[in-house]
Amino acid sequence: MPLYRNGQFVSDDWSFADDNEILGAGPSVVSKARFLQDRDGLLARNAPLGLVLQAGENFTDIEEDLLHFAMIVLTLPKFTDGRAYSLAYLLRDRYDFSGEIRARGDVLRDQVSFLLRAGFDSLEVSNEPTIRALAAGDVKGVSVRYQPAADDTGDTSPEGARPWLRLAR
Amino acid sequence: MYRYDEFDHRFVMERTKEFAGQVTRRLSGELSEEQFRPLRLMNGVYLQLHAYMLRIAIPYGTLSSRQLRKLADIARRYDRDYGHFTTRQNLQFNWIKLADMPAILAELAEVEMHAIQTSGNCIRNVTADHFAGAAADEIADPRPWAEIIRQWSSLHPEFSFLPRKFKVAVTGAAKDRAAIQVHDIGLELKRNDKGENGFAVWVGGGQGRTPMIAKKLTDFLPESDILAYCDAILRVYNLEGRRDNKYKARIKILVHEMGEEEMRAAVEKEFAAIRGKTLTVPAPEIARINAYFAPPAYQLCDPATPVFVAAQAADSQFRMFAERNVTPHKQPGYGVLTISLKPVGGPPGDATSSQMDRIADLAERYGHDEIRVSHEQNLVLPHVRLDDLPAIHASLIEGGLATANAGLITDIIACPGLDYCTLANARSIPVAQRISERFADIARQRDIGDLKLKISGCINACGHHHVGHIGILGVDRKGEEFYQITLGGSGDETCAIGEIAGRGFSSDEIVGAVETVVDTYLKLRQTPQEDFLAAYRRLGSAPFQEALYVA
Amino acid sequence: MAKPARNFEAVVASANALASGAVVYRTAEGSWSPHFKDALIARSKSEAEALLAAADGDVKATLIVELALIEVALEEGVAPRPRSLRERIRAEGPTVPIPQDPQPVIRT
Ligand code: SF4
Repeated sequence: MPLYRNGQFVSDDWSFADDNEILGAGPSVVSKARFLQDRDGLLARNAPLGLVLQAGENFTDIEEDLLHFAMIVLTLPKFTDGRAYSLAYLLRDRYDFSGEIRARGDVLRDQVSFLLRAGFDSLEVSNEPTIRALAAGDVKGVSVRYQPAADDTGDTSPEGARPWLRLAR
Repeated sequence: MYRYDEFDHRFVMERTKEFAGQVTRRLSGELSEEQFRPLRLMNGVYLQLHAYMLRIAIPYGTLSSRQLRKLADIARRYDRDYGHFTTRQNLQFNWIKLADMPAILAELAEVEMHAIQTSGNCIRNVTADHFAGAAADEIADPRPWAEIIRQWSSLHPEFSFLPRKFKVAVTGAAKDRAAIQVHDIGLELKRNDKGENGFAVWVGGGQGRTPMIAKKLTDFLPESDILAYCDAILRVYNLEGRRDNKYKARIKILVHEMGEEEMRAAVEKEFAAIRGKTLTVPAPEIARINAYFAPPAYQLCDPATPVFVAAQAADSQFRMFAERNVTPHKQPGYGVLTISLKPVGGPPGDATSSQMDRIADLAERYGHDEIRVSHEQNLVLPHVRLDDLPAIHASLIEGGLATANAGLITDIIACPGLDYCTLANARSIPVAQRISERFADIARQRDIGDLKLKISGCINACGHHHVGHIGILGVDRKGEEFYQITLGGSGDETCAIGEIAGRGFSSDEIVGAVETVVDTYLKLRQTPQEDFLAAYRRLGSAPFQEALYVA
Repeated sequence: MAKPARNFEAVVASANALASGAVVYRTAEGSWSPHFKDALIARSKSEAEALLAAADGDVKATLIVELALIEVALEEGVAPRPRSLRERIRAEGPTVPIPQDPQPVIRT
C-alpha cells in the first residue's frame, strides 16, 4: 500500500503481523489483542514495536504502555468516521506521544489536511486520485485555521488577540 | 455587526476555492457521489426533489442590508426569484445548479458570507436570540459568543466527522428565544452576583425521532472557559457517540445512555485537562469581538414618540401591527420590529427578491443597517425608532409584508415538506396555507392570542413540531398523507415536548382538528389572558382529546 | 437503487441530472428528458431490469445521480402518472405556487 509521509511517498519500513504469525526481527506492528496477551514478550524484543487499533478500539488497558510504541496505527473504516482524529489528538496532547501516528483505511484527499493537523504523520493511501494529488503536491487545505491543532508545526500564530489562530506557512 | 478581518476573508476565499475544486472533481467523475456527498453537505449543498438546494449560513441570524441585497440578487439570477428562511436562521435556495455553485459562493464571499457547515456531521452554524443586542430583557449580548464559537468550530480538524450533526444555540436573556434546551449544546449567558459573565451549559437536547430536553451540565461556567468546555463536550461525543445507527447518533442519545451524572463527569475530566490553555478566551479578545456588536448610534428621539402614538390612534390597522409585531427595545423611543413572512395563504418563511430588497432598503434607511432572521422564519429589524414605524409600515404594506400576526396562530413555522424535501413523508406548506386561511380573520386570531403552531413533514422535525403549542407531524400511511397532532410543547425557558394527542388525521381532516383544539381552548380558558399553553398546562390533554376523538 | 416492485405494473427510470440537479426521465431513445410524458414505460420485470441496466451506464458516466425506477399508474383513458405523491411532485413540481411578487395580503 502506498505510504505517504513528510510530503512524499516512501517505502514502508514496518511489517504488519497477523496475530498468530511469528514476528520478524525488524519493526513490527501488532494488534491490541496480541499486545495485551503477550505484553512482556513483545516489550522485551529488540526492535521497534508498533500497535494497530481497529475502529472502535481505544486506549483502555494500554494507557500506561503507549509510550513504548514507536508507531500507532489508527484505522478509519470510512472517511466519515472521525474517532481517529480525537484519538490522535489525545496521543499528542494527553500522552505526549511523539512516535509515528499512521492513518489507514479510507484515506481520501479532502481529509488529508485535517489528518495531518490532528497529529497523523503518515497515511496509507489506496485511492488513486488521492495518490496522484498528493504526489503532485496538490493537497493543501485552507491555510487559515481557527484552532490550535495537535500538530501545529509549520503554522505560525499571527499577532492579535486570538491565541488559537494559525496560519499555514 | 461582525466584520471580517484579513484572516477571515482569506479563510472564506480559500474554502470557497477548495469547494469549487471539489465540484469540478465531481463533475469530471473523479469523485463518486458517495465520496462527494459528505463534501457537498459540509458546504450546505443538498440534492432535493427538484434540484440542488443551497443553504447559506447566516451566523446567529444577523445580516446587513448589503448582504440581504446580495441574497436577493442571487435569487434573481440563479434561482427562481425567492428564498426560504429556515428555523436555523439560514436561507435556502431551492433551484440551484451544481455547476453554478462555485460562482454563487464566490459572490457570497464578496459580502462576507458562505455556506460552510450548514449541513453535514459537523458543528453547524451557531444560532442565537434574534432580538440579541436589542431586547429590553437582555442580560448580555449572545452574539459575540456565537461568533467566537462559530470561528472555533470552522473547519475544525478534529470535529468535522462527528457521529451526527451538532447544533449550538446561545441566548443572553432569561426569556429563551433561541430554544437552547432543544440543542446539542445550549448556552445561557448570565451574570453572577459578582458581576461576572458566565454560561449555564445545557447538553443533549434535540428534536427529531427521539425528542429530548437538554440536561444542564453546569450552572455557571466563566465565560473565558467556554471554548475549552465545548471542546471537552465535543471530544467526549466524538469518541463515545454511537456510530452504528444514525438514528441513535446524536449527543442526546449518548447523554441519555450514559446518564447525566456520568456525562458530566466525563466532560469535567476532559475539561480539567485542557482548561487554562490555548482555548481560554483572553479578555482582549472578548473585548475586541464585543466591540463589533456595540449598540448602534441611536438617533435622538422624543421619548413620548408622538408620531407613533398619533398613528396608532388614527389607524387601527397600524395599531394592531404595532401591538403584535413590535417588541420593547433597550433604548427609549426605539422598538424591535418583526416583519412577518407568514402572509395568509403564503408559504411560511419565503421571501421574493424584491421583498428582500425592500427590507434591505428599510433597514438601511430606518434600521441602522441591520436585519435578523428569526428561528420562527420571520425577519426582524432590531433597531427602529418608534416614530419611524408608520412610514415603515406603509412600505411593508406595499411589499405584502405587513401581516400583523407575530406570535399568533397564523405565524406558523413549517418546513418545506414533500413539496421540496426528499426526506418528507407529507406536505407541510399546503397545510400551513389552509390553516392560515381558516384563521385568516385577524380579530379571531387576536382573540385566540399567543399560539405557536409548528409543522414538520417528517420525523426529522425541521419544523420544530415537538415544541409547538400545537405541533403537526406529517406521516405516510400506505401512500396517503396523515397528520399527527402534538399538544403542549414549548421551546422557551419552560421547555416541554408536546404530547401526541392520538391517532392522526387525514389531509382533509387536519384543519378541522386544529380548529377543534383551538375552540376547546377558547371554551375552557379562565380569562382571555390565559394563553393556550397556560390553559393546556392547567387542563392537561384530556379535554382536548375528548373534543378531538370522542365528541 | 430501487428494485422493481413485486406486484409488477409499470415503471419508468428517473434520476436527477448531475450538473443541474433537474429531474429527468429515461426516454425510449436512451436519452434523458425533463418531461415525464417522454419517459419509456417498462411493462414487465424484464423490461424494467433492462431499462435500469441501460440507465445505470449514465450514472457511471457521471451524467445523472439518484437513479431509481418509479411506479406508474396506468388507467384507461388517462395519461400515465407516477403512482406516489412524491413522484407526482417530482414530475409536476411543487403543489404550492412559487412565491410571486405580492399583491398586498393584509386583511382587516
Ligand atoms: S422535517 Fe422532514 S420533511 Fe421537513 S424539511 Fe426536515 S427532513 Fe424535510
